[in-house]
Amino acid sequence: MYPTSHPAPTAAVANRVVRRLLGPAIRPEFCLIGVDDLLNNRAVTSVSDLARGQLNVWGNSFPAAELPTPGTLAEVDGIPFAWPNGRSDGDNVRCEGQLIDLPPEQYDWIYLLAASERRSEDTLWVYYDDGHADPLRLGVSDFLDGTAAFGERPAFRTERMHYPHHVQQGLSTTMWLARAGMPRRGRARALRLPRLVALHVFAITLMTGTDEANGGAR
Amino acid sequence: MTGHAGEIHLWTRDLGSCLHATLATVLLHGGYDPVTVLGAPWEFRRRPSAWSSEEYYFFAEPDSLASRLALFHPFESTWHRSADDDLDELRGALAEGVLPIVAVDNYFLPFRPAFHDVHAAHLLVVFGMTDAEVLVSDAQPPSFQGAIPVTDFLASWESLNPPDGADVFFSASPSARRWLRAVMREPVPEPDLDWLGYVIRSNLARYRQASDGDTQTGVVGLRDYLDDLCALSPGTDAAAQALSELYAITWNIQAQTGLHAEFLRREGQRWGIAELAEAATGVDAVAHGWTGVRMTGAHARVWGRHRLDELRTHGTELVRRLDIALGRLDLAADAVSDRASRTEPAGQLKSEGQP
Repeated sequence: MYPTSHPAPTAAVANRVVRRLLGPAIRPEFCLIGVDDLLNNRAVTSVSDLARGQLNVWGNSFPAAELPTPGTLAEVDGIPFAWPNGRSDGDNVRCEGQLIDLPPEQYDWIYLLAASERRSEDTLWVYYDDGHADPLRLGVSDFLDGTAAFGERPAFRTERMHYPHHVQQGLSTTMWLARAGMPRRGRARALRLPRLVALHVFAITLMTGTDEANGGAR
Repeated sequence: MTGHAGEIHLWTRDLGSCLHATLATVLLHGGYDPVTVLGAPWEFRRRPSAWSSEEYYFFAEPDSLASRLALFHPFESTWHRSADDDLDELRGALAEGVLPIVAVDNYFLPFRPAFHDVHAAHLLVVFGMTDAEVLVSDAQPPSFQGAIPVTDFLASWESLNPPDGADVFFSASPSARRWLRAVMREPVPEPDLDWLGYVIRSNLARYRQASDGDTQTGVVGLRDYLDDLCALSPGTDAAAQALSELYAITWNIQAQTGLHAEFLRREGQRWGIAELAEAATGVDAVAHGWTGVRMTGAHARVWGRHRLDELRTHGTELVRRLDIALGRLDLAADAVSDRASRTEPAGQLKSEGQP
Protein backbone atom coordinates (compact mmCIF):
# COMPACT_ATOMS: atom_id res chain seq x y z
CA MET A 1 0.00 0.00 0.00
CA TYR A 2 2.78 2.40 0.93
CA PRO A 3 5.85 2.70 -1.29
CA THR A 4 8.56 0.33 -0.09
CA SER A 5 11.31 2.84 -0.66
CA HIS A 6 11.56 5.58 1.91
CA PRO A 7 10.51 8.97 0.61
CA ALA A 8 12.80 11.90 1.00
CA PRO A 9 12.46 13.72 4.31
CA THR A 10 9.96 16.53 3.98
CA ALA A 11 10.39 18.23 7.32
CA ALA A 12 12.59 18.29 10.37
CA VAL A 13 11.73 19.11 13.96
CA ALA A 14 14.61 19.80 16.36
CA ASN A 15 17.02 17.82 14.14
CA ARG A 16 14.66 14.83 14.06
CA VAL A 17 13.88 13.58 10.58
CA VAL A 18 10.17 13.59 9.84
CA ARG A 19 8.52 12.07 6.76
CA ARG A 20 5.00 12.65 5.54
CA LEU A 21 2.98 10.15 3.54
CA LEU A 22 -0.50 10.14 2.13
CA GLY A 23 -2.59 7.32 3.59
CA PRO A 24 -5.37 5.42 1.86
CA ALA A 25 -8.73 7.07 1.50
CA ILE A 26 -10.99 6.14 4.37
CA ARG A 27 -14.73 5.63 4.37
CA PRO A 28 -16.00 6.21 7.88
CA GLU A 29 -19.24 4.64 8.96
CA PHE A 30 -21.48 6.05 11.63
CA CYS A 31 -23.61 4.24 14.16
CA LEU A 32 -26.25 6.61 15.54
CA ILE A 33 -27.35 5.58 19.03
CA GLY A 34 -30.88 6.47 20.04
CA VAL A 35 -31.21 7.72 23.60
CA ASP A 36 -34.95 8.47 23.69
CA ASP A 37 -35.52 5.78 26.33
CA LEU A 38 -32.97 7.46 28.65
CA LEU A 39 -34.18 11.07 28.57
CA ASN A 40 -34.38 12.20 32.18
CA ASN A 41 -33.85 15.97 32.26
CA ARG A 42 -35.17 19.16 30.69
CA ALA A 43 -32.42 21.37 29.32
CA VAL A 44 -34.29 22.79 26.32
CA THR A 45 -37.34 25.01 26.66
CA SER A 46 -39.56 27.17 24.52
CA VAL A 47 -40.78 30.58 25.59
CA SER A 48 -44.01 28.96 26.77
CA ASP A 49 -42.39 26.64 29.32
CA LEU A 50 -39.27 28.47 30.48
CA ALA A 51 -39.67 27.38 34.08
CA ARG A 52 -39.25 23.69 33.17
CA GLY A 53 -35.55 24.09 32.49
CA GLN A 54 -33.10 22.24 34.72
CA LEU A 55 -29.84 22.45 32.79
CA ASN A 56 -28.20 23.89 35.89
CA VAL A 57 -29.06 24.72 39.46
CA TRP A 58 -30.36 28.12 38.37
CA GLY A 59 -33.01 26.60 36.13
CA ASN A 60 -31.45 27.87 32.92
CA SER A 61 -32.01 26.13 29.61
CA PHE A 62 -31.20 26.18 25.90
CA PRO A 63 -33.68 27.94 23.60
CA ALA A 64 -35.50 25.27 21.58
CA ALA A 65 -35.83 27.66 18.65
CA GLU A 66 -32.05 27.58 18.14
CA LEU A 67 -31.62 23.80 18.29
CA PRO A 68 -32.65 20.98 15.92
CA THR A 69 -36.24 19.84 15.74
CA PRO A 70 -36.86 16.88 18.08
CA GLY A 71 -36.65 13.51 16.41
CA THR A 72 -34.70 14.69 13.38
CA LEU A 73 -31.26 13.94 12.02
CA ALA A 74 -28.70 16.58 12.98
CA GLU A 75 -25.29 16.89 11.34
CA VAL A 76 -22.44 18.62 13.11
CA ASP A 77 -19.00 18.89 11.51
CA GLY A 78 -19.89 16.03 9.18
CA ILE A 79 -21.00 13.76 12.03
CA PRO A 80 -24.67 12.69 11.86
CA PHE A 81 -26.63 12.43 15.09
CA ALA A 82 -30.09 11.22 16.00
CA TRP A 83 -31.40 14.30 17.81
CA PRO A 84 -33.60 13.07 20.65
CA ASN A 85 -37.35 13.13 20.43
CA GLY A 86 -37.77 15.25 23.54
CA ARG A 87 -40.81 15.07 25.76
CA SER A 88 -42.18 17.34 28.43
CA ASP A 89 -40.25 15.39 31.07
CA GLY A 90 -36.98 14.99 29.23
CA ASP A 91 -34.94 16.08 26.25
CA ASN A 92 -31.46 14.93 27.27
CA VAL A 93 -29.66 12.36 29.39
CA ARG A 94 -28.37 13.77 32.66
CA CYS A 95 -25.43 11.49 33.28
CA GLU A 96 -26.07 9.04 36.11
CA GLY A 97 -24.07 6.04 34.93
CA GLN A 98 -26.59 4.84 32.33
CA LEU A 99 -25.54 1.65 30.51
CA ILE A 100 -26.10 1.73 26.75
CA ASP A 101 -25.92 -1.43 24.61
CA LEU A 102 -24.13 -1.13 21.29
CA PRO A 103 -24.18 -3.21 18.11
CA PRO A 104 -21.05 -5.36 18.74
CA GLU A 105 -18.40 -3.88 16.49
CA GLN A 106 -15.01 -2.32 16.54
CA TYR A 107 -15.30 1.46 16.76
CA ASP A 108 -12.72 4.23 16.54
CA TRP A 109 -14.44 7.22 18.09
CA ILE A 110 -17.41 8.09 20.24
CA TYR A 111 -18.90 11.47 19.37
CA LEU A 112 -21.32 13.20 21.70
CA LEU A 113 -23.44 16.30 21.62
CA ALA A 114 -23.15 17.37 25.22
CA ALA A 115 -23.38 20.27 27.63
CA SER A 116 -21.94 20.79 31.08
CA GLU A 117 -22.70 22.90 34.10
CA ARG A 118 -19.14 24.14 34.54
CA ARG A 119 -16.38 21.96 33.10
CA SER A 120 -16.83 18.19 33.34
CA GLU A 121 -13.98 15.70 33.12
CA ASP A 122 -15.01 12.15 33.87
CA THR A 123 -14.91 8.55 32.74
CA LEU A 124 -16.88 6.99 29.91
CA TRP A 125 -16.62 3.21 30.22
CA VAL A 126 -16.61 0.96 27.17
CA TYR A 127 -17.18 -2.80 27.55
CA TYR A 128 -15.77 -5.32 25.08
CA ASP A 129 -16.90 -8.82 24.27
CA ASP A 130 -13.64 -10.30 25.55
CA GLY A 131 -14.41 -9.01 29.04
CA HIS A 132 -12.30 -5.89 29.00
CA ALA A 133 -13.69 -2.56 30.19
CA ASP A 134 -11.81 0.56 29.07
CA PRO A 135 -12.10 3.89 30.89
CA LEU A 136 -12.15 6.70 28.35
CA ARG A 137 -11.54 10.28 29.40
CA LEU A 138 -14.41 12.55 28.44
CA GLY A 139 -14.16 16.30 28.78
CA VAL A 140 -17.02 18.73 28.17
CA SER A 141 -16.71 22.47 28.65
CA ASP A 142 -19.06 24.87 30.38
CA PHE A 143 -22.26 25.57 28.42
CA LEU A 144 -22.26 29.21 29.46
CA ASP A 145 -18.79 30.55 28.86
CA GLY A 146 -18.09 29.18 25.40
CA THR A 147 -14.40 28.46 26.05
CA ALA A 148 -13.37 25.05 24.71
CA ALA A 149 -11.35 23.88 27.70
CA PHE A 150 -10.91 20.38 26.26
CA GLY A 151 -10.34 21.39 22.67
CA GLU A 152 -13.85 20.46 21.60
CA ARG A 153 -15.75 22.18 18.85
CA PRO A 154 -18.98 24.03 19.44
CA ALA A 155 -21.91 22.10 18.00
CA PHE A 156 -24.52 24.79 18.60
CA ARG A 157 -24.00 28.28 19.90
CA THR A 158 -27.19 30.14 20.72
CA GLU A 159 -27.73 33.87 20.77
CA ARG A 160 -29.83 33.83 23.93
CA MET A 161 -30.31 31.88 27.11
CA HIS A 162 -33.52 30.89 28.80
CA TYR A 163 -34.16 31.75 32.45
CA PRO A 164 -37.10 30.47 34.49
CA HIS A 165 -38.96 33.76 34.07
CA HIS A 166 -37.50 35.42 31.00
CA VAL A 167 -35.42 35.11 27.86
CA GLN A 168 -32.00 36.73 28.13
CA GLN A 169 -30.97 38.16 24.79
CA GLY A 170 -27.27 38.53 24.10
CA LEU A 171 -26.21 35.80 26.51
CA SER A 172 -24.80 32.96 24.48
CA THR A 173 -24.88 29.27 25.34
CA THR A 174 -22.85 26.45 23.82
CA MET A 175 -23.56 22.79 23.23
CA TRP A 176 -20.33 20.96 22.49
CA LEU A 177 -19.25 18.33 20.00
CA ALA A 178 -17.11 16.17 22.27
CA ARG A 179 -15.35 12.95 21.38
CA ALA A 180 -13.39 10.13 22.95
CA GLY A 181 -11.03 7.79 21.14
CA MET A 182 -11.41 4.01 21.41
CA PRO A 183 -7.89 2.63 20.99
CA ARG A 184 -8.67 -1.02 21.78
CA ARG A 185 -8.98 -3.25 18.75
CA GLY A 186 -11.92 -5.27 19.93
CA ARG A 187 -15.69 -5.50 19.62
CA ALA A 188 -17.42 -3.01 21.89
CA ARG A 189 -20.75 -4.19 23.26
CA ALA A 190 -21.81 -1.40 25.59
CA LEU A 191 -20.82 1.92 27.09
CA ARG A 192 -21.60 3.55 30.40
CA LEU A 193 -22.10 7.29 30.76
CA PRO A 194 -20.29 9.04 33.63
CA ARG A 195 -21.91 9.36 37.03
CA LEU A 196 -21.88 13.13 36.97
CA VAL A 197 -25.07 15.18 37.17
CA ALA A 198 -23.32 18.26 35.78
CA LEU A 199 -23.03 16.51 32.41
CA HIS A 200 -25.87 16.34 29.88
CA VAL A 201 -25.76 14.18 26.74
CA PHE A 202 -28.13 14.88 23.87
CA ALA A 203 -26.90 12.49 21.19
CA ILE A 204 -24.27 9.80 20.63
CA THR A 205 -22.73 8.59 17.39
CA LEU A 206 -19.95 6.03 17.07
CA MET A 207 -17.61 6.13 14.13
CA THR A 208 -15.62 3.32 12.62
CA GLY A 209 -13.59 2.72 9.49
CA THR A 210 -11.02 5.46 10.02
CA ASP A 211 -8.22 2.97 9.51
CA GLU A 212 -8.00 -0.12 7.41
CA ALA A 213 -7.53 -2.52 10.29
CA ASN A 214 -10.82 -1.52 11.84
CA GLY A 215 -12.65 -2.04 8.59
CA GLY A 216 -11.33 -5.58 8.43
CA ALA A 217 -12.08 -6.51 12.00
CA ARG A 218 -15.79 -6.02 11.93
CA MET B 1 -17.21 63.79 36.23
CA THR B 2 -15.01 61.70 38.46
CA GLY B 3 -13.29 59.00 36.53
CA HIS B 4 -10.20 57.37 35.18
CA ALA B 5 -8.29 58.21 32.07
CA GLY B 6 -6.98 54.66 31.71
CA GLU B 7 -8.69 51.88 29.85
CA ILE B 8 -10.95 49.59 31.88
CA HIS B 9 -10.51 45.95 30.89
CA LEU B 10 -13.10 43.24 31.14
CA TRP B 11 -11.50 39.95 32.22
CA THR B 12 -13.21 36.72 33.13
CA ARG B 13 -12.73 32.96 33.08
CA ASP B 14 -15.27 30.16 32.76
CA LEU B 15 -14.52 28.81 36.24
CA GLY B 16 -14.18 32.24 37.78
CA SER B 17 -16.56 34.48 39.67
CA CYS B 18 -16.98 38.19 40.08
CA LEU B 19 -14.21 38.04 42.70
CA HIS B 20 -11.37 37.15 40.37
CA ALA B 21 -12.94 39.19 37.58
CA THR B 22 -13.12 42.46 39.51
CA LEU B 23 -9.66 42.06 41.02
CA ALA B 24 -8.34 41.31 37.55
CA THR B 25 -9.85 44.53 36.22
CA VAL B 26 -8.10 46.44 39.00
CA LEU B 27 -4.81 44.66 38.31
CA LEU B 28 -4.99 45.29 34.57
CA HIS B 29 -5.72 48.94 35.19
CA GLY B 30 -2.52 49.09 37.22
CA GLY B 31 -0.53 47.32 34.53
CA TYR B 32 -0.32 43.92 36.26
CA ASP B 33 -1.10 40.54 34.76
CA PRO B 34 -4.00 38.76 36.55
CA VAL B 35 -2.88 35.27 35.58
CA THR B 36 0.54 35.83 37.18
CA VAL B 37 -0.79 37.58 40.27
CA LEU B 38 -3.95 35.57 40.95
CA GLY B 39 -2.89 32.34 39.26
CA ALA B 40 0.36 31.72 41.14
CA PRO B 41 -1.16 30.68 44.52
CA TRP B 42 -3.02 27.40 44.87
CA GLU B 43 -4.37 26.07 48.15
CA PHE B 44 -7.28 24.58 50.04
CA ARG B 45 -8.36 26.34 53.22
CA ARG B 46 -11.66 26.26 55.03
CA ARG B 47 -12.74 27.27 58.48
CA PRO B 48 -16.04 25.58 59.41
CA SER B 49 -18.95 28.04 59.54
CA ALA B 50 -16.75 30.96 58.47
CA TRP B 51 -18.53 31.84 55.26
CA SER B 52 -21.13 34.15 53.80
CA SER B 53 -23.66 33.57 51.05
CA GLU B 54 -21.82 35.56 48.40
CA GLU B 55 -20.44 34.56 45.03
CA TYR B 56 -17.27 36.40 46.00
CA TYR B 57 -16.65 34.60 49.30
CA PHE B 58 -13.10 33.34 49.81
CA PHE B 59 -11.62 32.36 53.15
CA ALA B 60 -8.72 34.80 53.53
CA GLU B 61 -8.32 35.33 57.28
CA PRO B 62 -6.03 36.40 58.81
CA ASP B 63 -4.97 38.00 55.52
CA SER B 64 -6.93 40.46 53.46
CA LEU B 65 -8.92 39.15 50.51
CA ALA B 66 -6.47 40.45 47.91
CA SER B 67 -3.34 39.42 49.76
CA ARG B 68 -4.60 35.84 50.23
CA LEU B 69 -5.62 35.58 46.58
CA ALA B 70 -2.27 37.02 45.54
CA LEU B 71 0.01 35.30 48.06
CA PHE B 72 3.16 35.95 46.06
CA HIS B 73 2.54 39.65 45.36
CA PRO B 74 2.15 42.71 47.61
CA PHE B 75 -1.52 43.05 46.62
CA GLU B 76 -3.66 44.23 49.53
CA SER B 77 -7.27 45.08 50.10
CA THR B 78 -9.52 46.57 52.75
CA TRP B 79 -13.30 46.50 53.05
CA HIS B 80 -15.03 49.85 53.65
CA ARG B 81 -18.61 50.73 54.45
CA SER B 82 -19.88 54.12 53.27
CA ALA B 83 -22.53 56.22 54.94
CA ASP B 84 -26.12 56.39 53.68
CA ASP B 85 -26.54 57.89 50.19
CA ASP B 86 -22.92 58.95 50.28
CA LEU B 87 -20.90 58.40 47.16
CA ASP B 88 -18.08 60.65 48.31
CA GLU B 89 -15.85 57.79 49.41
CA LEU B 90 -16.13 56.20 45.99
CA ARG B 91 -15.46 59.57 44.35
CA GLY B 92 -12.44 60.02 46.60
CA ALA B 93 -11.05 56.63 45.67
CA LEU B 94 -11.50 57.38 41.97
CA ALA B 95 -9.75 60.70 42.42
CA GLU B 96 -6.80 58.84 43.97
CA GLY B 97 -6.63 56.53 40.97
CA VAL B 98 -8.18 53.59 42.82
CA LEU B 99 -10.95 51.58 41.14
CA PRO B 100 -13.45 50.73 43.91
CA ILE B 101 -14.96 47.24 43.86
CA VAL B 102 -18.49 47.48 45.19
CA ALA B 103 -20.79 44.88 46.72
CA VAL B 104 -24.15 44.93 44.97
CA ASP B 105 -27.43 43.04 44.58
CA ASN B 106 -28.13 41.88 41.02
CA TYR B 107 -31.85 42.42 41.53
CA PHE B 108 -31.44 46.17 41.02
CA LEU B 109 -28.95 46.15 38.14
CA PRO B 110 -30.64 46.72 34.75
CA PHE B 111 -27.96 44.82 32.81
CA ARG B 112 -28.00 41.66 34.93
CA PRO B 113 -30.27 38.73 34.00
CA ALA B 114 -31.56 38.74 37.59
CA PHE B 115 -32.87 42.31 37.22
CA HIS B 116 -36.17 42.61 39.10
CA ASP B 117 -36.25 38.82 39.36
CA VAL B 118 -33.70 37.36 41.79
CA HIS B 119 -31.68 38.79 44.67
CA ALA B 120 -28.03 37.76 44.50
CA ALA B 121 -24.78 39.18 45.88
CA HIS B 122 -22.30 40.34 43.27
CA LEU B 123 -19.25 42.58 42.77
CA LEU B 124 -18.75 45.38 40.26
CA VAL B 125 -15.92 47.77 39.46
CA VAL B 126 -16.79 51.47 39.54
CA PHE B 127 -14.70 53.52 37.13
CA GLY B 128 -16.43 56.86 36.95
CA MET B 129 -19.28 58.97 38.25
CA THR B 130 -21.42 61.96 37.37
CA ASP B 131 -24.21 63.54 39.38
CA ALA B 132 -26.75 61.34 37.62
CA GLU B 133 -24.86 58.21 36.60
CA VAL B 134 -22.29 55.70 37.82
CA LEU B 135 -19.92 54.03 35.37
CA VAL B 136 -19.59 50.37 36.19
CA SER B 137 -17.67 47.44 34.74
CA ASP B 138 -18.90 43.85 35.06
CA ALA B 139 -17.01 41.16 33.14
CA GLN B 140 -19.26 38.28 34.19
CA PRO B 141 -21.61 37.13 31.41
CA PRO B 142 -23.45 38.98 30.02
CA SER B 143 -20.63 41.47 30.35
CA PHE B 144 -21.45 45.14 30.71
CA GLN B 145 -19.43 48.29 30.84
CA GLY B 146 -21.16 51.65 30.96
CA ALA B 147 -23.37 54.03 32.87
CA ILE B 148 -26.32 53.19 35.07
CA PRO B 149 -28.52 55.70 36.91
CA VAL B 150 -27.33 56.64 40.37
CA THR B 151 -30.70 55.53 41.74
CA ASP B 152 -30.21 51.98 40.38
CA PHE B 153 -26.67 51.90 41.68
CA LEU B 154 -27.69 53.02 45.15
CA ALA B 155 -30.59 50.57 45.28
CA SER B 156 -28.19 47.76 44.46
CA TRP B 157 -25.40 49.00 46.74
CA GLU B 158 -27.75 49.57 49.68
CA SER B 159 -29.82 46.43 49.17
CA LEU B 160 -30.59 44.15 52.07
CA ASN B 161 -30.32 41.32 49.51
CA PRO B 162 -33.04 39.38 51.34
CA PRO B 163 -33.31 35.58 51.30
CA ASP B 164 -34.53 34.49 47.86
CA GLY B 165 -35.69 30.97 47.08
CA ALA B 166 -34.54 31.41 43.49
CA ASP B 167 -30.96 31.79 44.69
CA VAL B 168 -30.36 29.87 47.89
CA PHE B 169 -26.60 30.29 47.56
CA PHE B 170 -26.02 34.01 47.12
CA SER B 171 -29.02 35.78 48.63
CA ALA B 172 -29.44 36.78 52.29
CA SER B 173 -26.27 38.85 52.36
CA PRO B 174 -26.81 42.64 52.54
CA SER B 175 -24.74 44.78 50.19
CA ALA B 176 -24.59 47.35 53.01
CA ARG B 177 -22.74 50.00 50.96
CA ARG B 178 -19.57 47.94 51.19
CA TRP B 179 -16.67 48.48 48.86
CA LEU B 180 -13.24 47.00 48.50
CA ARG B 181 -10.09 49.01 47.99
CA ALA B 182 -7.46 46.78 46.37
CA VAL B 183 -3.99 48.19 45.77
CA MET B 184 -0.70 46.69 44.57
CA ARG B 185 2.33 47.81 46.56
CA GLU B 186 5.89 47.83 45.34
CA PRO B 187 8.17 46.09 44.72
CA VAL B 188 6.51 43.44 42.61
CA PRO B 189 8.57 40.24 42.22
CA GLU B 190 10.22 39.48 38.92
CA PRO B 191 8.55 36.34 37.54
CA ASP B 192 11.80 34.55 36.75
CA LEU B 193 12.62 30.87 37.16
CA ASP B 194 13.76 31.23 40.76
CA TRP B 195 10.46 32.90 41.63
CA LEU B 196 8.50 30.25 39.74
CA GLY B 197 10.27 27.45 41.59
CA TYR B 198 9.60 29.18 44.89
CA VAL B 199 5.90 29.55 44.03
CA ILE B 200 5.47 25.88 43.16
CA ARG B 201 7.32 24.61 46.22
CA SER B 202 5.40 26.98 48.52
CA ASN B 203 2.09 25.74 47.14
CA LEU B 204 3.23 22.13 47.58
CA ALA B 205 4.28 22.79 51.17
CA ARG B 206 0.92 24.35 52.05
CA TYR B 207 -0.98 21.44 50.52
CA ARG B 208 1.12 18.98 52.53
CA GLN B 209 1.07 20.68 55.88
CA ALA B 210 -1.31 19.60 58.62
CA SER B 211 -4.46 21.58 59.32
CA ASP B 212 -3.91 24.66 61.45
CA GLY B 213 -6.15 24.67 64.51
CA ASP B 214 -9.77 24.87 63.45
CA THR B 215 -8.81 25.76 59.87
CA GLN B 216 -8.85 22.79 57.51
CA THR B 217 -5.95 23.12 55.10
CA GLY B 218 -4.19 21.13 52.42
CA VAL B 219 -4.81 17.52 51.46
CA VAL B 220 -5.59 16.49 55.03
CA GLY B 221 -8.01 19.36 55.51
CA LEU B 222 -9.74 18.60 52.24
CA ARG B 223 -10.15 14.93 53.18
CA ASP B 224 -11.62 15.95 56.53
CA TYR B 225 -14.03 18.38 54.90
CA LEU B 226 -15.20 15.80 52.37
CA ASP B 227 -15.72 13.29 55.20
CA ASP B 228 -17.83 15.89 57.01
CA LEU B 229 -19.99 16.33 53.91
CA CYS B 230 -20.50 12.61 53.45
CA ALA B 231 -21.67 12.29 57.06
CA LEU B 232 -24.63 14.63 56.48
CA SER B 233 -28.19 13.46 57.00
CA PRO B 234 -30.00 14.19 53.72
CA GLY B 235 -32.95 16.53 53.91
CA THR B 236 -32.08 18.12 57.25
CA ASP B 237 -31.56 21.84 57.85
CA ALA B 238 -27.97 21.11 58.78
CA ALA B 239 -27.44 19.38 55.45
CA ALA B 240 -29.03 22.26 53.54
CA GLN B 241 -26.75 24.71 55.30
CA ALA B 242 -23.67 22.58 54.67
CA LEU B 243 -24.50 22.13 51.00
CA SER B 244 -25.03 25.88 50.58
CA GLU B 245 -21.66 26.43 52.19
CA LEU B 246 -20.08 23.85 49.88
CA TYR B 247 -21.31 25.63 46.77
CA ALA B 248 -20.35 29.08 48.01
CA ILE B 249 -16.88 28.46 49.44
CA THR B 250 -15.67 26.19 46.67
CA TRP B 251 -16.64 28.47 43.78
CA ASN B 252 -13.47 30.47 44.18
CA ILE B 253 -11.42 27.47 45.28
CA GLN B 254 -12.34 25.90 41.94
CA ALA B 255 -11.70 29.21 40.20
CA GLN B 256 -8.24 29.50 41.74
CA THR B 257 -7.46 25.92 40.75
CA GLY B 258 -8.39 26.56 37.13
CA LEU B 259 -6.41 29.79 37.09
CA HIS B 260 -3.37 28.08 38.60
CA ALA B 261 -3.50 25.51 35.82
CA GLU B 262 -3.55 28.35 33.29
CA PHE B 263 -0.59 29.96 35.07
CA LEU B 264 1.42 26.72 34.95
CA ARG B 265 0.55 26.08 31.32
CA ARG B 266 1.60 29.56 30.33
CA GLU B 267 4.86 29.33 32.27
CA GLY B 268 5.48 25.99 30.60
CA GLN B 269 5.14 27.62 27.20
CA ARG B 270 7.23 30.58 28.24
CA TRP B 271 10.17 28.51 29.44
CA GLY B 272 9.69 25.47 27.24
CA ILE B 273 9.41 23.14 30.24
CA ALA B 274 7.16 20.19 29.47
CA GLU B 275 6.78 19.20 33.15
CA LEU B 276 4.91 22.45 33.76
CA ALA B 277 2.37 21.57 31.07
CA GLU B 278 1.94 18.12 32.63
CA ALA B 279 1.42 19.68 36.05
CA ALA B 280 -1.09 22.10 34.55
CA THR B 281 -3.11 19.19 33.20
CA GLY B 282 -3.04 17.60 36.63
CA VAL B 283 -4.20 20.80 38.32
CA ASP B 284 -6.90 21.27 35.70
CA ALA B 285 -8.14 17.75 36.49
CA VAL B 286 -8.49 18.85 40.12
CA ALA B 287 -10.48 21.90 39.01
CA HIS B 288 -12.76 19.61 37.02
CA GLY B 289 -12.97 17.21 39.96
CA TRP B 290 -14.48 20.05 41.96
CA THR B 291 -17.35 20.12 39.44
CA GLY B 292 -18.44 16.65 40.52
CA VAL B 293 -18.34 17.51 44.21
CA ARG B 294 -19.90 20.94 43.86
CA MET B 295 -22.69 20.02 41.46
CA THR B 296 -23.64 16.82 43.24
CA GLY B 297 -24.02 18.89 46.39
CA ALA B 298 -25.82 21.72 44.61
CA HIS B 299 -28.33 19.38 42.96
CA ALA B 300 -29.08 17.92 46.38
CA ARG B 301 -29.58 21.42 47.79
CA VAL B 302 -31.71 22.79 44.94
CA TRP B 303 -33.45 19.82 43.34
CA GLY B 304 -33.56 17.49 46.35
CA ARG B 305 -31.50 14.87 44.56
CA HIS B 306 -29.62 13.49 47.58
CA ARG B 307 -26.89 11.08 46.51
CA LEU B 308 -24.24 10.84 49.20
CA ASP B 309 -22.78 7.80 47.43
CA GLU B 310 -22.03 9.95 44.38
CA LEU B 311 -20.72 12.73 46.58
CA ARG B 312 -18.34 10.28 48.25
CA THR B 313 -17.19 8.94 44.87
CA HIS B 314 -16.50 12.44 43.55
CA GLY B 315 -14.73 13.38 46.76
CA THR B 316 -12.49 10.32 46.55
CA GLU B 317 -11.73 11.11 42.92
CA LEU B 318 -10.96 14.72 43.76
CA VAL B 319 -8.38 13.70 46.37
CA ARG B 320 -6.89 11.13 43.98
CA ARG B 321 -6.50 13.80 41.31
CA LEU B 322 -4.98 16.15 43.87
CA ASP B 323 -2.38 13.53 44.84
CA ILE B 324 -1.49 13.07 41.17
CA ALA B 325 -1.28 16.82 40.58
CA LEU B 326 1.02 17.32 43.56
CA GLY B 327 3.30 14.59 42.26
CA ARG B 328 3.52 16.27 38.89
CA LEU B 329 4.22 19.59 40.59
CA ASP B 330 7.16 17.95 42.39
CA LEU B 331 8.57 16.98 39.01
CA ALA B 332 7.82 20.43 37.60
CA ALA B 333 9.58 22.15 40.51
CA ASP B 334 12.65 19.98 39.93
CA ALA B 335 12.60 20.77 36.23
CA VAL B 336 12.31 24.49 36.94
CA SER B 337 15.21 24.34 39.41
CA ASP B 338 17.30 22.40 36.91
CA ARG B 339 16.61 24.97 34.22
CA ALA B 340 17.33 27.84 36.60
CA SER B 341 20.69 26.32 37.49
CA ARG B 342 21.64 26.26 33.81
CA THR B 343 20.39 29.77 33.05
CA GLU B 344 22.77 32.63 33.60
CA PRO B 345 21.57 36.00 34.79
CA ALA B 346 20.82 38.41 31.97
CA GLY B 347 23.91 39.94 30.42
CA GLN B 348 26.33 37.24 31.58
CA LEU B 349 28.27 35.60 28.77
CA LYS B 350 28.47 31.81 28.52
CA SER B 351 31.90 30.37 29.17
CA GLU B 352 33.80 28.59 26.43
CA GLY B 353 32.51 25.14 25.71
CA GLN B 354 29.39 25.58 27.80
CA PRO B 355 26.32 24.19 26.09
